[in-house]
Amino acid sequence: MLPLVGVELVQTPVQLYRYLLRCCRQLPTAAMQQHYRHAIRQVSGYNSHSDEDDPERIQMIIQRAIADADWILEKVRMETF
Amino acid sequence: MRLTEPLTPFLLRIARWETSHYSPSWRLVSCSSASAPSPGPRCGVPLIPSVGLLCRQYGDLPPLTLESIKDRVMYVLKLYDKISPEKLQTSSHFMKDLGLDSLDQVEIIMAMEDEFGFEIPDAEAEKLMTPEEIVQYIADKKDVYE
Repeated sequence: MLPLVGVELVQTPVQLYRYLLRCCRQLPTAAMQQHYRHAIRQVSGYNSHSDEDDPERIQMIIQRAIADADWILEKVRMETF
Repeated sequence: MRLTEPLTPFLLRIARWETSHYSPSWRLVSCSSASAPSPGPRCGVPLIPSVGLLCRQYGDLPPLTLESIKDRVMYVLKLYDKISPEKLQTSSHFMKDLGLDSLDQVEIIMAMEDEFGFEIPDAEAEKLMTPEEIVQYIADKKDVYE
C-alpha cells in the first residue's frame, strides 16, 4: 500500500500526528484503530520522545514513523486478502 | 368488482383514492419549508415530476442549521475525556482556556471530521482553536447561513 496522500507535506510533529491518525482510519477493525491510536500517543510515540530537541533527530523520527505506519498498513492488507 | 367492468375507471378510482388517502414520500420542496399548510394544491400530490421541483428524501438527515451544528460540536467536545464539561464554552480556546496541547487539538478536529463526515484540510484544521470557529467553518463548508 502506498503512503497516504500528503505524506510529503509532513514536516512537523503535529502534522505527523494528523497523518498517523488518518492512517489509523484505514485499519479494518475498531479495536486495531484504537490500539494504534493509543500506541502513537502513549506507548512508543510522542510521550517517549517528548524531550527530543535536535531538529535532525526529530526529522529522522518522523521519517521512521511514516515508514512504520506504511509497514503496518501493508501487513494488515496482506492478512486481510 | 365485476370482471366485465372496464379497467380504466377502476385505475382512475385507485389513483383518486391514493391522492386523497395515501401520504406519499413525494413532496414539494417549496412546501416542505412552509410550516403552516397553505390553501391551494396539496403538497403531497406530485404535480410535475421533474428534478429539482420534487425530491424524495430517502435517508437524508434533516437540514443543518447553525444551532444544530453548534449542538453537535459541543456534544462531541463534552464526550472528549480531557475536557471538563463545566469549563467548556463556545468561546473557550482549546489551549489557553482548556489547557489542551496541540495533539489534543488535532484529535478534536479529527473527531469533528468523523461527526460531520467530511475531511478538513490540514492548513485549515490548524487554525480552528475554539468551538465557535469550528461551527463557523462547518457552516461555511456546508452552505448553512442564518
